[in-house]
Amino acid sequence: MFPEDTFAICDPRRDEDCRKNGDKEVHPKINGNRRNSCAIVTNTCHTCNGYYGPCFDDPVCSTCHAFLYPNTAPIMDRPSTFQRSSDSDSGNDEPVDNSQESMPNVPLYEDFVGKMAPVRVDTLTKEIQRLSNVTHHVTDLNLELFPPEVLMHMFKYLDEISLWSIGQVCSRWREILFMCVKLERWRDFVRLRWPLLPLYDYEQDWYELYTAMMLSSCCFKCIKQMAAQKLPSHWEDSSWRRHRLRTELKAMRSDPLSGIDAFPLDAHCCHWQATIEGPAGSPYEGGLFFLYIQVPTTYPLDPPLVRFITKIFHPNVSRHGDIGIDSIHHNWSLALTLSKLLISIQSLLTDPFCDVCMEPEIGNMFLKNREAFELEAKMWTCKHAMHDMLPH
Amino acid sequence: MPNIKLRSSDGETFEVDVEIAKCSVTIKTMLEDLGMDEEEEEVVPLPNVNSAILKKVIQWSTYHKDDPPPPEDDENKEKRTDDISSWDADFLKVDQGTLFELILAANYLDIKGLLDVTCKTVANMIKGKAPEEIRKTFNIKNDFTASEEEQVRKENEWCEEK
Repeated sequence: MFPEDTFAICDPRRDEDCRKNGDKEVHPKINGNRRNSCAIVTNTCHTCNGYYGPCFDDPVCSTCHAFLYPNTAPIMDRPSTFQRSSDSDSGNDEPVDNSQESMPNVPLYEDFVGKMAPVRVDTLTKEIQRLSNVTHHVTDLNLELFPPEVLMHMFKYLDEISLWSIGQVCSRWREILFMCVKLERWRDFVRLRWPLLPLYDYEQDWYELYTAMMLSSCCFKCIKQMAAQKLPSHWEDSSWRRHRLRTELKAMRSDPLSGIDAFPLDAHCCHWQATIEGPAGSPYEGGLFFLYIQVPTTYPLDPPLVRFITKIFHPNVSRHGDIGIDSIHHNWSLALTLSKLLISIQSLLTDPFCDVCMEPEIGNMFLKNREAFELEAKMWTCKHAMHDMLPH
Repeated sequence: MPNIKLRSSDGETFEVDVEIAKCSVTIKTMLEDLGMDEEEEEVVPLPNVNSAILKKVIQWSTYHKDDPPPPEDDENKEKRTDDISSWDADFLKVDQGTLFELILAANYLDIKGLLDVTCKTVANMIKGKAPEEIRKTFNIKNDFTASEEEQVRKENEWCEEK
């Protein structure tokens, strides 16, 4: 039913083969051709077109990523579009308790993260330094063939995302990795990274599941940033923000929305993970799509940052997962909440808005060749958003 | 302080303080097992270490000779990689080949402190990199392709059944 090469197009591993064959021209050209229009996973950074270096299966290279999606900057530096109101108690607020106590029943992400070695995150400064002193030495000694005890010793210093990478490098390293990290631990790692993924208790290969989740993510660097999130050193949030988020969270718990879930990852509710189930009748039906939400200190005056983690074939979602809806940009309103935002994203899945697109090729395809669009979108859903159902 | 002589793989001999040489557990046991007398003009052969690397190892051991023995590995303790001292960081500003040879030498000579710090340095090079990026950094060949392709085919089948 599905031609084999439709799969090949969106499979990064096939792209690798293209590169091996010396084919550098895998960058998509927009010409409405079906094959090209969906080949949006390439080896060239789509922002700088490879100028700052390779992007290793991600849509954006690390330099562009550090510039475009800095780690905590949106929380610290984003200028408020409104005048900040006074922090002090207006007298109408409920007495404010400590933010630590605001979510008594939620297991904190930090509890896990604290026990793990910190993840390295690229900052723009570091990236520029790296670019300015190129040190690429090829030596006779290959790290691949180091004695297992030395590699095991080395792997002990790695965080779980890097450990996953190690297991993908070559088969020898994967074997050694399995010797030092028990397979059951990957279950914890899956839970840690995707707390909203329903896990079933039957025996399965948790490393495979972790791999499937990683490969279905829009951007490796964003997953890494999510893991390395640190709270700003001089944290100040308003009692308004605290109160508002607490109310929102309570509402979400007491009156869950159908097909939508959200979960704060830290005590200050700065970073959230959310899921949206693909709406029935849309080509996304049956899929579970993960999103990352960053709530700025100036919330609710400023909109949260929302991004898809799971790859999705949609005109209004960029290959990096950024969502093109006005309510998280200039049309943010105080009346909006995280739930309302997620609902509007869910309805965007049913009705793409093609006048302005994040991915014009996909928009074009949606308008001109709906059948092909739906087939492709369904295929992406099968491949990237159904890990909660697939036995691995 | 008595000295002993160490001979590298390429035949160069280094005279070092016994205490410094004993940073290496391998040399230490060798001396104890063989009952090598400190007065004897015995030369310890180190066939796995060349002179350039042995020189670096001696330099490191000399600087760190008074360090307390590194604590035993604790499985539950967080493994930090950002605690490399500035002297060590400078010392390890070498090309990849030298760094790798230092690791192998530290492993062979059983110098835990040096092994830790060199492994940390490489771990920092690995950290946060995507698999393909790691392969490129260390020039490693991807030997998965065949089996992975098979897996992709399996995924296809699953879809076709649906």
